Amino acid sequence: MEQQIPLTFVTWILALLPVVVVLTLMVVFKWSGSKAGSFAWILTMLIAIFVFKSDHRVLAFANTKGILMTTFALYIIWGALFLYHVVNHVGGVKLIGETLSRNVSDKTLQLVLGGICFPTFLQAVAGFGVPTAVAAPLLMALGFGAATSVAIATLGHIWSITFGSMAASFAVLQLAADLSPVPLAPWTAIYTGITGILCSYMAVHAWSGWKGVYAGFFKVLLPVSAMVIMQGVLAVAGYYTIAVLTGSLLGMVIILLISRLYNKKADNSLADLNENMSTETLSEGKKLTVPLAFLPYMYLITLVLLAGFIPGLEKKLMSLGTLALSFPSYETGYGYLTEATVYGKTTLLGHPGSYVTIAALLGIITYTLTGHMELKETKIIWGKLVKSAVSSSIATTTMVMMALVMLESGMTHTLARGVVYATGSVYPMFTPFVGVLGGFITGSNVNSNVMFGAFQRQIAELLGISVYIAGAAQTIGGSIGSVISPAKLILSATTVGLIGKEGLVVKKLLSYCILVTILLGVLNLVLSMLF
Amino acid sequence: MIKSSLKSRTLALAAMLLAPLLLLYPGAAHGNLLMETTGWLILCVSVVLNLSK
Repeated sequence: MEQQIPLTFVTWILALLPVVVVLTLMVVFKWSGSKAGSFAWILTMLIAIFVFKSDHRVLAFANTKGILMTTFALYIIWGALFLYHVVNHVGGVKLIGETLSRNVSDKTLQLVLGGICFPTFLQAVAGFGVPTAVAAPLLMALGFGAATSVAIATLGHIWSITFGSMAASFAVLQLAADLSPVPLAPWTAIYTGITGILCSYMAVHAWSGWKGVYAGFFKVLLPVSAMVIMQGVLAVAGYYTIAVLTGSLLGMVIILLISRLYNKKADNSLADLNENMSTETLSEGKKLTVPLAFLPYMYLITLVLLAGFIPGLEKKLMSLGTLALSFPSYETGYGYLTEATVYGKTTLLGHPGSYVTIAALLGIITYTLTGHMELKETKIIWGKLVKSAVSSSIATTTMVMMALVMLESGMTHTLARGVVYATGSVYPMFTPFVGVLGGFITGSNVNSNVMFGAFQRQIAELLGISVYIAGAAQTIGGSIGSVISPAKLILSATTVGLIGKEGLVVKKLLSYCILVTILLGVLNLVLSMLF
Repeated sequence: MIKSSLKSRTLALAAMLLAPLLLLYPGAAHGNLLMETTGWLILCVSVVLNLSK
């Protein structure tokens, strides 16, 4: 790759400008992600043309690659939200949350179950603000304070964002930074696992200070360790899409078992548990049971495992229809070269989005056959899905296109060279902070990885450190940043009645998020030096 | 009002996803300027439309 773009203060500032503009528009002017992304895309195109000498052909190919990457991510995102809305439509999500919490009487265990395992489960199956929005009111109902509930539910699921939502963030990081999943998964599992344990204790601290941390040390350690180990093992084995889902289910089971040991007098015999585990559903007052509410997620796990275990099945499925395009090599006026490549791996079947969509469709069939919904109600579910996904999809699309234009016009490379010039070998300390910035700006780990994935890779290459460690630090930073984004904080505060008092939540959360990012930065510096 | 806004956003998203794949890429790859220009036009209009929402 030729290095002919002049690295001056002006070119560096102009390369940074789209990112600063997105941040300013969303945070200061309260623009939505879709509006800010659209504006920043136009600005990026203009800078690419007039400053970085990109012609129409470079931009056409960069934007098409952006769309191919978007299609890959949106298939997962829409599928995950479709599944969530199917289960939520029959009252399944509410039932799962309430039943689990009702059957645990110890306060710390309630916190771990309702504030860590349950939002983690929601992150696995939906994400995009759903975990805190659903779990925080539930914690409030259990007696936790409003701002504390938001802080607990938020801290409780940060770790699961990268492999949550059917591993959308992880998949996008691979594409954006051109990283192979096999060496990336262990490092990502290490960073997310450490964050999971740290943030779980921070959640307890947010509720009852150091006293609560000491008293509940093992009650937290056992289920959370089990969750992060299960996630790590599945991720390393290649089952990225179900790593968090399976981990969260294991955590819930462990809490229920510990709860029995801690409170033998509690009314938690299996018979009573089953009796409690039902609720009126929307159609004809038919009762829904917890196993039935969980069934679509069981379908998903079964589908993913079947595809993985039956030799050649996934490969065969993927060959049935692939959206990939062949790109020639091209360069900008400065000679910044993009190599020829076949780009895009979206397949109709064998893609994470296909498993989750099929699971949702099987869920609809099951709920229809068991009388919990009527087939015509699918239209209502579709309406809810479109309403919840269109705006964020536009935001993702415009920001992905923006990131690809930045990358292929040489803007990202200019940014990376400037940062390396300024910070030198201590840059790895700041890697997670860059991820946090992306997540904070866009409210999304996916978009943070899109925006900074390639940037982090290029810096790692310039510094001669592991690109996989840098990728893992980027995505965990993106997870942390996404939960403290203004859009998500406002949504969470609204669900617990703190409208206009979002500052209380920020006050509770910010110090924990800064502390965990600093610790991850130090860890990243050490690991980058060692490996 | 909300419904029509949602419809136009959905249309804008569909246009944004399809224009590069069906027009921009084949236009740029095969040097078909008319196809590429149409792709650019649809893409830019669909993005600009978001700014007015």
